[in-house]
Amino acid sequence: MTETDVVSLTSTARGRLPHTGRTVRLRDVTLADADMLDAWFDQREPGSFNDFGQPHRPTPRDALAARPLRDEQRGTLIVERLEDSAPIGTVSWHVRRYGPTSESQCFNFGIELLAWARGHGYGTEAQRLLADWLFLASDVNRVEASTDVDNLPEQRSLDKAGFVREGVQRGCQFRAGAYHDMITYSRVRSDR
Amino acid sequence: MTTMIDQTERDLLPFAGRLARLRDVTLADADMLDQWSRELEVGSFNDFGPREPIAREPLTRGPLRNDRNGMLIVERIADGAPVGTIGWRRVTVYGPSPTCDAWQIGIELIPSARGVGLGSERLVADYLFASTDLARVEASTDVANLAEQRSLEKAGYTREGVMRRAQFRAGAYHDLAYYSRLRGE
Repeated sequence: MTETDVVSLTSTARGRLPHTGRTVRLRDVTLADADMLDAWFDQREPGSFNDFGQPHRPTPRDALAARPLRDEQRGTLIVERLEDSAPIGTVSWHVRRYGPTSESQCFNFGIELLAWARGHGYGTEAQRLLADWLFLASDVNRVEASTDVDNLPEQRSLDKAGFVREGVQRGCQFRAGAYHDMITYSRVRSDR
Repeated sequence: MTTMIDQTERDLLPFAGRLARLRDVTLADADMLDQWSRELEVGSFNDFGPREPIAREPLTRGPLRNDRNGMLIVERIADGAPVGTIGWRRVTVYGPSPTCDAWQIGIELIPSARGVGLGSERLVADYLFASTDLARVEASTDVANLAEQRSLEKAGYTREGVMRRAQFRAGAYHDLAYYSRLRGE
């Protein structure tokens, strides 16, 4: 078994996109999304939980022209509302490892929705769909997400999406001039 | 903010506690380390299969530590005997900036040095806080490894939670208990 086997998302037979739910679907990012993604970044609320005060790195157009925005280590999908096909945000993931074996790798993901699209359950469904899709498309045993202990909407959303609260990593994230505690949630294959 | 381990101005090694001290690995330790690897109990919590011999060439150039990871020898002060290793690596999973990084430690003692309270986990955290700018030292261990959980608690680490089915070892997925010590604790 090669190092990246369990996190490989390259099989075309499994996990086809778009992955569609009741109110939203997840689809690959295309070159046509690049301007929109850059504009979303510029509109991000200063001081919000995803704002690390870092300079904006423009969406990589050269890479997008060749393939979707995902590789062996990370990826991003667009969250689209079904009723009007409006793109309302992104979900992204990267590999995290808990041991030297290939099977000890899992995916840690994050979500970012436009302000007007929050509070309607779209994020909850998008996060459930993402975990479903990652389990379908790869061999990982675990999908996890972390959020600031003060980000109660995201905690409610992860709860509703079927994730299990595991613990609080103290002082692990430095953001907006201070260290923050993060809560980790997970779903493992046997939860389903 | 820099997070390099400065090997000149802040060279604190050997770093001594009451019962144990931490010192750099040297080329003279290589055979001993390989011997320890061969003697590791099959099926024990640190057994992920046969290990490669330790690389000699890097040891000819200097100690086994840089800004990504490191390893030190744990020496018993009473008799000067090397009794194990303690290592760390930078985890970059908590945020996009280096200020979100933490050190994750791992310890491996020979059987005769276990359960006697040498305090290696406390020492390595003290050493990392003194020699680097990171604010968090963390450790994880199999939920079945009660001895290590007791050691971490005695060393001032706080239990944070259990990462379910996170580690694959010996043919099965295992839950990992997570612990941390923050700068100033």
